[in-house]
Amino acid sequence: MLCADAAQASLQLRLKTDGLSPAEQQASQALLDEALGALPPRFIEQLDRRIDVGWTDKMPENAYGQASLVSELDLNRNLLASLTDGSAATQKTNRPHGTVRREMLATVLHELTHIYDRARLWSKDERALIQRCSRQNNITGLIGLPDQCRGQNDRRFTLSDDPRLLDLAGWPQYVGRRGEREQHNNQVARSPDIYETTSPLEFVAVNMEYFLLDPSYACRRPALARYYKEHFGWAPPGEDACGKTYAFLNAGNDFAKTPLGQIDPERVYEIDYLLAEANQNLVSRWGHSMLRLVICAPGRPRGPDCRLDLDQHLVLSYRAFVGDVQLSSWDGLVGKYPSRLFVLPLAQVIDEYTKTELRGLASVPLKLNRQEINDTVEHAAEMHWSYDGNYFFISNNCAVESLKLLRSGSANPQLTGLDNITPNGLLEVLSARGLADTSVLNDKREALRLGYHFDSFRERYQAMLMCCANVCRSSRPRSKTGCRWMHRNAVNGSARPTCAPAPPCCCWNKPAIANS
Amino acid sequence: MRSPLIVAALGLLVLADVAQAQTLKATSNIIVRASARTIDFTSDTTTSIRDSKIVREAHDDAASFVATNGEIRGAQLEAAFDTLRTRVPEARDASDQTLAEAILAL
Repeated sequence: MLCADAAQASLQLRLKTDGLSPAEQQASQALLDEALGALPPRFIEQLDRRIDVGWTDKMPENAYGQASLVSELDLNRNLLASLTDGSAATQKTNRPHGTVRREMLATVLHELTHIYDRARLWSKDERALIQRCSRQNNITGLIGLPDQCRGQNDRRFTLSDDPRLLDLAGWPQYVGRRGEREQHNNQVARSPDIYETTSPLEFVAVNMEYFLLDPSYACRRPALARYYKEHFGWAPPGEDACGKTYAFLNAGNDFAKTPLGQIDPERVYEIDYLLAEANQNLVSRWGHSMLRLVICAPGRPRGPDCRLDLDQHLVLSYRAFVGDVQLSSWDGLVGKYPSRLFVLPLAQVIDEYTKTELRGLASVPLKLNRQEINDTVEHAAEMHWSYDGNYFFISNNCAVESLKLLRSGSANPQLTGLDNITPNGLLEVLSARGLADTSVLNDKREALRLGYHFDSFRERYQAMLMCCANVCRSSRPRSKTGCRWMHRNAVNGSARPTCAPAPPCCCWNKPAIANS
Repeated sequence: MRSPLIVAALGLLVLADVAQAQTLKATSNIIVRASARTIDFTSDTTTSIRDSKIVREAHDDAASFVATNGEIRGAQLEAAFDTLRTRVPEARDASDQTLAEAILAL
């Protein structure tokens, strides 16, 4: 059978039979056949070589297997006995694969993936791109490299140094270092096997195990499953059907709500860049960046009307998780605070900023297509559950995190080369690249009415107090008629509020003083 | 000796709870009499709790709107107008000012 396959160029697994009894040979061969059966056709076709598989006792006791650089794969001989007598199929492990035999199968797939990854089996287009970018890099260096080439020059692996994979896997670009990747993977929460975060090489191999063996992988890590499917042009048979909505932990202060909310990406009309305007506090001098999901009320078709379904809208906000009453600047600079992605109801965010912190909010729609919106929501849900990063006030703040979320989520090519560390600066750059439509803010009245701008209550209070002051200073009888405080200070920006004496009174009256 | 006090306290507590329940009920029941420019809260029309939430959240915006004769017209108020006009037939003909005052009175 194997010899027949050899005629066509394809992967062969040859068992080293020396010193194995017939029963051991048979059990080993069954394992290898099963592994070969689980692999995608493109994998087998492209990795055109013979790989010798043997059992060895030169291995740490708890290891399962190991691949050499090119064409050899060793399995731990300790496991051979249980494989042969069939007990491995029922013996449970504490790992997600379940049984020892399943773990061995995963090991074979894992090690084969390492060999595949090292074999530089790029598609024709990809190879052309890599060659072009490497050449360009030799001529101009990183500074002159076009965005499309970022991360594509001098690639050495089939999968594990692909910029898109690194974005999804959790090694995003460092801000301001021309595509250099972060050292540590922070997508550590709820990992099936924390070993995957040690390096991109291991990440690719570990995720391949689950892609091939776990029917619910596409539901757990939809973006990565799609990446593998696209790469191999193939989907594993028997995948689970996934739910259409994504669960999130409701971080709102409305405790009557269920703690677990659901986002249906089909109901997300737009994604807005939500910027809390700056104030003079050290930590908020450059504003705070968030993303707002404009979600339609159930039953309403996607459209501009959804912008006023305010009770449905959610805000994605990376926040430093400060478990202390005092904010330490030093801890913030050295990254001691954990950074998490919170999902909050919009009304609460409006209250917090405009009424408590007295900062305005600008909400600018991003120009993303349907697929990009869906993917961003999906990625946000993944990050919400898996990300546990460190908040650095400068190099990994909310603006950087939001940008990374947008970039990894939407995969919009315009975002690849975009760098910014300040929230208000990020809005300018997004707008300059035509990704954000800031024209909605031009007409202040309409912006306020349609929810593109939520004004700070500072201006409203200010107008009210000025008005009262005017009334008190004026010679008019200080009777029960007060003033309709205000006037357009907040809206039209005229210098002073004007007051008109008219009931009902909105300023406070002090009859005792008035009568004296 | 103290038992009357305790009884009184308990009685007050019960009353307070009833009052609270009444307010909650009122917020979910809105009727607007546009012709008379007055607003009544009755239990004839019930809107769902969620809708009344969008209305409750518009309270501060409604205050600004009323105080400024409509100069400040925030999105939360706009959303509440929409909700009221879709759900409460009587609110359709009412002016913005009337509706804002109604929301403010909630």
